[in-house]
Amino acid sequence: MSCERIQLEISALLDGNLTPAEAEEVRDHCRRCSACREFLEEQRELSSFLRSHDPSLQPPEHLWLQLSQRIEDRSHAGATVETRHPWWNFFRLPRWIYATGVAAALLYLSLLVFDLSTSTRQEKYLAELDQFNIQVTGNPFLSTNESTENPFLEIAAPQTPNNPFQSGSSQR
Amino acid sequence: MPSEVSPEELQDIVERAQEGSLEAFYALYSLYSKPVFNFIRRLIGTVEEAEDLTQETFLKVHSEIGNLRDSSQFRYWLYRIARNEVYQKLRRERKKTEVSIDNDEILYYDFLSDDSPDLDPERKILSRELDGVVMSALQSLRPKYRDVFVLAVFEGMSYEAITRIVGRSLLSVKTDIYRARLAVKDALKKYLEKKS
Repeated sequence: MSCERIQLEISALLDGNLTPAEAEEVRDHCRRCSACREFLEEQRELSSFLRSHDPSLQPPEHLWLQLSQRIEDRSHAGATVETRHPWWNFFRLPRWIYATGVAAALLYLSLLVFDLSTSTRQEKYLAELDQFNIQVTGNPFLSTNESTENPFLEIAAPQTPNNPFQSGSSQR
Repeated sequence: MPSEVSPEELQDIVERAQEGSLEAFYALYSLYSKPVFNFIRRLIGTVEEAEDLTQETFLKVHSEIGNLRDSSQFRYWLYRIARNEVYQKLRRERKKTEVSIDNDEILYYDFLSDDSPDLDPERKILSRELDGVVMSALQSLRPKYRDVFVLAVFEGMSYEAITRIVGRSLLSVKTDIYRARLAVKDALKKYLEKKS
């Protein structure tokens, strides 16, 4: 066995965790190896130093009094809950019901958001048209499949010189 | 294990506590409150916190003892709860556990009852200082070394029992205790060199 391995075993020896045969092997090595012998002595001193300078303390007496009081309080609280049947027990439903409800709510919300954003875009577009005094005949939001004519071609040309639609209305 | 009761008697007490006997629970508290309190104190470093955590540990033992399937495993189960309470506390407070022994912040503790024999004032001060040094040396260890080291050296537990508490292999426990020994020795050596 290497010295490192022996020193690992020395630690176990001092903690009383070696079999007699293992302990004898360690002692035998220490008789022949001064480094491991020194390590054994150092560690033995360390163990006794630690035990003598960190005495075990008695827990304070009030600890049990507080503990028993808390146990009593808890058993009272437990009895109250058991006999009362609180109103929120009515809402204790299987998890899948809650999950379905949440999914439905999310779907509804996403549709609502989509609808709102479409309305906002429509309003913004109409406001833009108003700004440039553009008259629109027909619904420009109708799909091309439903309308054979391009509604933008029917836009009456505005009178303002800065109208951006003057030169590119047919491209929009 | 406290030597006052045999394993059979302990099993009987645990079973009665599982049936709800407060008297049996008090018997368990009387047997284990001191070692558990000192185990926690050595892990956490202060008496006040050790008191709180000991109380929390036994409160949990009281509420969970019915779930303990094998009453012969009570001791390991108890220490596991105590250890978990300490780690939860350390996590909650994000406490800095690595305390360097190089600085002069040696912690002093108001010992509740000092069992040491009467010493003259100067030796008493030195003794207390060394007690503080030991505690600081323990606190300087990484938590995974500290718990196994405390269980082996101060509680005198077998490595086999420690593996059941910390849930690690025998080789890992053995190696960690060895490393802890080296680290504690270095910490104390540094302190003593500084003093001389």
